[in-house]
Amino acid sequence: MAMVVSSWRDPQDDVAGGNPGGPNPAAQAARGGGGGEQQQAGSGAPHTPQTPGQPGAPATPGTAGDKGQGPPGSGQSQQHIECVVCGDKSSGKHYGQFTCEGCKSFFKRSVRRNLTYTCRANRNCPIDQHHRNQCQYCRLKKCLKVGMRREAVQRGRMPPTQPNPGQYALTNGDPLNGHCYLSGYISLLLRAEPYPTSRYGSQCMQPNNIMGIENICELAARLLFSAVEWARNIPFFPDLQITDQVSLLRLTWSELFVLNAAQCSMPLHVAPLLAAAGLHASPMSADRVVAFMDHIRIFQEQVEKLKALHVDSAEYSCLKAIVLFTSDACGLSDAAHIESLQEKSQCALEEYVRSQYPNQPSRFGKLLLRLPSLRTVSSSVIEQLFFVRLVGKTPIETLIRDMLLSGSSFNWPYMSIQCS
Amino acid sequence: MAMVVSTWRDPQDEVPGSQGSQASQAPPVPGPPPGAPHTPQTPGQGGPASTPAQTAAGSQGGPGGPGSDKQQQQQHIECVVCGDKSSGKHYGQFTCEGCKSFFKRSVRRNLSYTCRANRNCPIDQHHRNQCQYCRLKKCLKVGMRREAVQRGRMPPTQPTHGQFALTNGDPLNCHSYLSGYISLLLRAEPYPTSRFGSQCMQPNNIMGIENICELAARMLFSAVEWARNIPFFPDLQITDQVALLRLTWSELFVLNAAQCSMPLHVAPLLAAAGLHASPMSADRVVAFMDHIRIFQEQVEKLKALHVDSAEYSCLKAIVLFTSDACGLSDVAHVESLQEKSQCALEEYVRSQYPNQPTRFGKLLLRLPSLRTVSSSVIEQLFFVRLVGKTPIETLIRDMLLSGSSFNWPYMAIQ
Repeated sequence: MAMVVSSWRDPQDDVAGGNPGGPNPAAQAARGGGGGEQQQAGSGAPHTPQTPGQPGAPATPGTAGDKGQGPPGSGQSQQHIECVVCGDKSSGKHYGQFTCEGCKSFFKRSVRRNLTYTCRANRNCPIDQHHRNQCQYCRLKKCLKVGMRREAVQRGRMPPTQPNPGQYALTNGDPLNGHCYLSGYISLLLRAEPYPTSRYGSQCMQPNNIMGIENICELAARLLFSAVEWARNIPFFPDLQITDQVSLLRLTWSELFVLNAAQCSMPLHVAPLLAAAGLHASPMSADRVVAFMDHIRIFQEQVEKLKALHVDSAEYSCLKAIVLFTSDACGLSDAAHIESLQEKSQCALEEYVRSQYPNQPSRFGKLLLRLPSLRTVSSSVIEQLFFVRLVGKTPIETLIRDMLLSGSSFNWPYMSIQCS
Repeated sequence: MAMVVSTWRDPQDEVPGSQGSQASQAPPVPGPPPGAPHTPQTPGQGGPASTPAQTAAGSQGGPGGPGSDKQQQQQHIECVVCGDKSSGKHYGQFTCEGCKSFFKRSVRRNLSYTCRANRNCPIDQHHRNQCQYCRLKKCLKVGMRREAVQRGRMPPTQPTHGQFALTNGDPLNCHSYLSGYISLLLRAEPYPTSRFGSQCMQPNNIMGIENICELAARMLFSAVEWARNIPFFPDLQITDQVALLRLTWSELFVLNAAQCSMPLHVAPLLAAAGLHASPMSADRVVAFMDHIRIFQEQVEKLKALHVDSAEYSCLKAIVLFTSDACGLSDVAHVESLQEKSQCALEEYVRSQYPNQPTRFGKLLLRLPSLRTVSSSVIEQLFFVRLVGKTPIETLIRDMLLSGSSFNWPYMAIQ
């Protein structure tokens, strides 16, 4: 068995030996190109000598060190660009995407020779820096999936006239074309939070844990405001038509409110407390009271279940984006676009959960299965419970539209929020 | 690099030989009869001939899918770690000789490994040697027991509770039976999809209102009957069964409507007929038609995903086993059943649709929208004409208790 494997790897070494020939035409082309290209070639040159070193044992600890830098994605992005196929250091764009020298040569070789491969497993082998040579079929499939273009190989160097439309522009076709930016997408979702979670904590975690009713209502108002403000600052939402923005928020505000309540660990006893105070102020009929308390129980249960999952802030941000970008809203001008944004958000969540919680294989499914239950929480009950005291008869939908249009200059009808 | 890998693999070749001999010696009396047929094959597997054989085995698994799983179960038992042929139970689970030896060696020597990737390497017949960390992790995850190694042979006094008994702890302990779980979900369908089709796909595509109502009644009945026949649901307390179905019947109805490709024009048609019979106020009409639009949209979106019957059965199980129902006697148990169903769906989708990496997430994201469809509107649209004032909840309870002997208040179902 070892001999068979060894024989299989020998051609790989021969190909690696052939790599030095590859950079030569690139270098020649670079001389004729602009300054940017020279810089790319410059960054490429130091990598080439390292390639022969990779087969050696000393390369492994270096690689492990690189892996250790994985979690600080922002740091990594500042230092170098990753290959969108295997995560190795990219020497620049090749055939339409940022790739390393290894994947560049592999793709070129496969296309020029029109090679076809066979996967010995289930056609979903992991392609990363350490396993990219183990399955050529899946490696080529991933090259194509992330956007490497066959036609760019045939005609040699791709003309630099095609600019990058933008880091967060959705490309046509498979939303996974944006694969390499999903972690950036999550970073932007997190950055859009108007209040860090710790600031919520200061409200909720008073040493005596006693909150007056006014404080509870202010907290609720802050939660609703932060949901709208967050939406205004996340990628893609501000680019939608204002009517679509209002439509989405009107449908999803109560679900976002529940997620925010769980995220800031709102004390659960506040709901019955508010209900009792409300009932004292304006009595209801007996059966309405029963239904009302039932809805309060449902609200509390959803918050408790989310807390039991120990959802982290990145997961909350993805869940909120999935909730917000729902094509169920009425009258959307482009439902397919909203669906693609939701799909992008769920891809980001899945990718994040797979990498951060590898020992919880069912976590992604569990998180998504919290969302049907959010639809069970009655938005009118939340409105009655937390906002009627604050805004009287003003409908929440009107408030949401005003918040959306006014932004940070929004003033509550009866109470001004300190948003600094 | 190749040399390093080669060096790493050499001990692998040596150790199986010695371990094989030890394994044969350890169980002197019962061991030789079951082990003997497999032992001679081990050296054969080492040769180049084993490569095409393994490839053929892998390819067989792919296209066959659930059917192939059934055939495999009849022929041999799979190793719950890597899918290779199992020689029987070792350390608490059905495993092959390779994983058995690997686990024993790792436990006896108290070895710890390091994963060079993301600790989620695939462990199957062809890749199990590529990452020892993930292989050992999977051995433990599927239920191999360290303590069984220390004391040698595990006493056979501990029987298996049953193919579908949930073990304590990680629901993935039932990993090897998830495909069997899906098979049972499919088998529980009272009507094959083609029979629904015979109702919907009339050549002239003209259905009378009576036929539509009968179809709707059949779909509701089939949802309840399906629940009565799937694993685990009949074992719940009857009050829990009723609570779950009362909450989820309309979602199951929508899934069944999409599965049988109910013609979408029937809803406005019924609405018009209903309005003619009992006029509503203008704003109620608007709200009613809005809900009909929502119902139609959900059916259309499900059809656009081209959900297959195994996926539908898993989705329905996920919908049914919801801990949102009121008054459940064992919420954690229902939650574990839902988790089992979603794990089965994920495993199925990953293996059947490898070129659609987002399909599992897309399917789950259909479920929040099902909650948007108003159950009272479906009741008004499809059932009031049939059962008058009888509440659907009462019908569901009666169906649940009566089973196939259930008679509709106004119409008998063939």
